[in-house]
Amino acid sequence: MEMDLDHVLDIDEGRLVSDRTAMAKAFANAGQSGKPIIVHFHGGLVSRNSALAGAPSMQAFYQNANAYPFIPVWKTGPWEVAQDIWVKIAAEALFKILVDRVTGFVHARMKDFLGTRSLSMERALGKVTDDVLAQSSTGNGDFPKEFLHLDVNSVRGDPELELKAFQEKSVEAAVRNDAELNRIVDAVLQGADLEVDPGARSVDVARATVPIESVADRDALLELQGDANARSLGIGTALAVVTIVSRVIKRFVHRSDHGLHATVVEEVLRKFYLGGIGTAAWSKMKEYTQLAFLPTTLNAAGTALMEEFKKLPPAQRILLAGHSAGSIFICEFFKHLDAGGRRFEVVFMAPAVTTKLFTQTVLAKQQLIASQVGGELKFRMFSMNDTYECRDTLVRNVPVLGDLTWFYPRSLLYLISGILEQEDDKEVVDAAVLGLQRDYDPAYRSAGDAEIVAARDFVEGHGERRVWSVQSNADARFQSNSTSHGGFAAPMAGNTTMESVAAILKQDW
Amino acid sequence: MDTAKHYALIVGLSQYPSVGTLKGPVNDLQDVSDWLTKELMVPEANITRWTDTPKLFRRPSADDFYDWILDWVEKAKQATGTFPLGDRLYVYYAGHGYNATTGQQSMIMPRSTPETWNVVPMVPLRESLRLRAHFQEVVVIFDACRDTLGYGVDAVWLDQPQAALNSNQVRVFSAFASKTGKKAKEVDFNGRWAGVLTQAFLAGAKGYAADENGVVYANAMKRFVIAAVKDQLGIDYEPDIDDGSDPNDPPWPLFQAARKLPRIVIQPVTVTSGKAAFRQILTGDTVEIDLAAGTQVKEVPYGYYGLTLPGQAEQKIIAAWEEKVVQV
Repeated sequence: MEMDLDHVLDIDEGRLVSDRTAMAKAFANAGQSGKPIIVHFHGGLVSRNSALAGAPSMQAFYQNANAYPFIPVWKTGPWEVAQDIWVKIAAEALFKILVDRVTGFVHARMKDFLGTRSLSMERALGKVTDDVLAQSSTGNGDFPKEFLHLDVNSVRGDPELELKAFQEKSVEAAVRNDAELNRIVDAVLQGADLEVDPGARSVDVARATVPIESVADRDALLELQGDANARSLGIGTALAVVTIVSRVIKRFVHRSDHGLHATVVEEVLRKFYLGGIGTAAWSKMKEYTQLAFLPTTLNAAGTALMEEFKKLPPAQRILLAGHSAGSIFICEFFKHLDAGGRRFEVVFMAPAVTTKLFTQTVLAKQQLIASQVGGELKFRMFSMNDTYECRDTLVRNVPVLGDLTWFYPRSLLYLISGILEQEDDKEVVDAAVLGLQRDYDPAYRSAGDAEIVAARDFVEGHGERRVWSVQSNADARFQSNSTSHGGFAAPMAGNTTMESVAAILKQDW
Repeated sequence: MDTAKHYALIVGLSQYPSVGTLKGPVNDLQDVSDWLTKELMVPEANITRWTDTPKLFRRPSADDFYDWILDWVEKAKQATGTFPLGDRLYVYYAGHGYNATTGQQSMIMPRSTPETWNVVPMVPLRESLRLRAHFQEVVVIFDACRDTLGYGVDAVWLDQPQAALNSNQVRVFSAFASKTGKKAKEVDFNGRWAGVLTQAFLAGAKGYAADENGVVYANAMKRFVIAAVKDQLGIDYEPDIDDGSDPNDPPWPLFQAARKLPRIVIQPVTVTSGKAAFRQILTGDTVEIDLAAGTQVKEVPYGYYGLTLPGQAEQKIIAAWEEKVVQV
């Protein structure tokens, strides 16, 4: 596809791969136009091809708003194809049975915790079928009370909920005798050429007859095989399940859960599919945004942008808009801005950046955000309120399959918070993400953390700086009707988020 | 009933390092203790109480139960009479419990870990007491789970007494919170957690299971406790109670307490006109209720009742606790 080099910047792993001279010419044209310039950074789940395909309509939308648009098409690497693997995980027998079993055990613990005097963790929950999971996804993003027959909110935060030795033993005993689960594990290990020793199987559990190919992490399967051979297949599986159940319960204790359904899925993914779900790919994509500004990067795209911005007339408006992971690009941009340089307007749409990075970059240099006559900063964030965020099914519109409502019940921002955001030196769960309204709740687990307080004061402390969709407003610059993560940045009539951005460009703030 | 000759071992354990904490047993222990000393007037010196022992929580253990029995054996050597040590012995336990695969229901002691068990099987303990016939009556209350643990040890009870000649005359009342293989429940009673079996038993003993003469018979207590537990937890929950009476036995008076009648409060909310029929299922006695007259309160003997609204099928109501509000 041919790019319009007057408006499109082609970026690969932080490098500008489209023509630098053409870029300079385009910025010169933009400067001469006198129009507000908007640089729109797309999100991470947009492949290069689809971003290129969508660039003309985005360009036209902003031109209709009387702006001069630049559309950086930035290759987000393996993250672009994460959805393909999610579909495979969602279809796996191992994934499905683990979600069912872990949910059952966690539920049993919660139910016992609410008033029984027993040592065991007997399952009282019905089977977690695709229909039950779908109902969770399309409802409020968690299993309904009618299915659980208990209110998970009533156990959250109580340290006594954690598994004790007898409960672990109870889970272990149940899993050892779970022929269906152990047969699937056996088949998955065979499918990965990690056959267990014949003696590792119980006498009453026959060898699985058909190997199953799985996208589960090989390290996780190797560990499973090692535990199975050292003890038995049943115990190896049990140890893994105990770990997952324990982690889910700990998250409820520490108020870092995302509801029962999403937390179970996140912890099953963490134990068995951390590679497949895209944690490394997510980190790699963020690394690309950093590379775009490093002096060691050949033709660093971010550096080139900064150079061109400096050439523009000082009075010309520049609005940086970032959707989802595009907000990370903008934060990296702020990180490298000169303290005394020009100022920028900022719009975030469903920003996937952590509050940590946001406070370290944009907040730390908020004097570089342009301001209105009254001094109010030209910053606005559009994101879903938590009700819609919880209902936004992660994987949608899969060919033939449609929405994978049974896979993960909540939005991409929840998945990022729950599992994708990791740090090298420690395991992270429930990372605070700027676009998640939940993180601004004073009851949020880390509401007192300095970075959360700073972000909350900045975003929530000023009503005009955030629009939680769905929100109507007589003023066209403060509307949003987006109810899906991907929907925010769709350049089309009727999308009032983008119409708000257009109104900002036309009317100023 | 000379309660000066009543004795009790009451145990309420909430803290189990390897199992988890319970909210109710310590409250239950207090309630049972208060009932014994303040209402039955059992002398303080006759009551042995065991509860949580921080920081290691290694007591009580099975050895304490053996010591407790040995103490009775020593005292019995110094005493005379058909039942040398007293009229009645209460053994009360609230805490974690389980059934071994043989169906033997056991108290689990707090020091237990999955590797090092320390348990006391309740029925063998009860039989140890019955066979010795130190006391004329034994009342056992086991407010703990009886769910079967496949990995649970089948505890060996190491006390093997010779049966006393009059041991077949010892009357035994046993109340287990659930049937074998089932769990016991504790719930929030107006902001205070407690075991359902314990609270039902105490309610019955304090008069809700009493007849018009103020006597709580063992068979009435059994019926009352079953009704009260079902009312609190639902029809699927049923305590396992042996009232110690064969069909031809004379009624066994367990307690004396002024009779109390549960109140059923019928509040018309959606059906506010017409006549409803309120029926005592046991006797068939039926009274008519004018729904247009607003909220009505019926003080009735404990048991099962039926309420039939105009044009509707009869709905079952259990009267057991102090007050039951039925919105119609």
